Amino acid sequence: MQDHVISDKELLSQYQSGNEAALELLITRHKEKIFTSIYIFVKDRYLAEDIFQDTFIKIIDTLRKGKYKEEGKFLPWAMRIARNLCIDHFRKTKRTPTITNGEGYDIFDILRFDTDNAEDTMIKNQSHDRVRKLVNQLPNEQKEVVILRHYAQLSFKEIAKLTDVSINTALGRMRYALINMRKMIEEKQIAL
Amino acid sequence: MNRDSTISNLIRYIYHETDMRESEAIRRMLAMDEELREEYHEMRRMSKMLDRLVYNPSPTSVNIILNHSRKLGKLEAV
Repeated sequence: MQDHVISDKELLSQYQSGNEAALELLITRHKEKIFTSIYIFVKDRYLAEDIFQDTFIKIIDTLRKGKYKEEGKFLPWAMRIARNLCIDHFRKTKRTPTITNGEGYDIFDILRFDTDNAEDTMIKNQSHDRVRKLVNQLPNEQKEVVILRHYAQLSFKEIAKLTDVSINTALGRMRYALINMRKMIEEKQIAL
Repeated sequence: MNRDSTISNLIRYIYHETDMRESEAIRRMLAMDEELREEYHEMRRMSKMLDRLVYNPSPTSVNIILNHSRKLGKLEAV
């Protein structure tokens, strides 16, 4: 499979030389991680689809204008664009993502969610939605570290730089995210 | 090494960000410290669970993106 041997850097170069197939390969390679991050962040599948499209349109426009400077790996760059678009959305709608501490969390809310959206029910299993709900219950700063580490694949050093905190703070946030998720699972006896 | 520092290194170990020397030191601590070992297994379990969480955008979204690119390509060619 050629997909495994061509680097992102090479695909970007090919795309900038006019090879449209290279873009398709880049999207195929990274769409799950980018889309999952956006979906967890905004909590709405349709909004996530819009922001996902906007992210790649911005990527395309930047590449075509020759403004991409190869300052780092493709995925962290794409994730930064997606993250900024999510933040822009919350600014425009004058609302911030819900901050919770796990209190008031209702397992029936999770179960109901699975039947809310027929498309979700068809293409994802319940376990995924339960995990996503757990992540959504985390305080924003913990949720952000989870997204950036697991889906954007940034190192803790890169996360610290991006979110303007010390590396120990980033590590501490991840620790508490994992601990909080475990507590929620235990308290609500969630089967995953 | 204090507890906070040990836990920070443990997180880095779970996420494969420790070098060989640090990894070896953590493995030694895990072998000796039952409480630390328990925390390690729980955090690792949660981390693995997060790795399983994957969603895909709709094919429509991907097509919109590809069409945008093709359209720009055609405009540039004119």
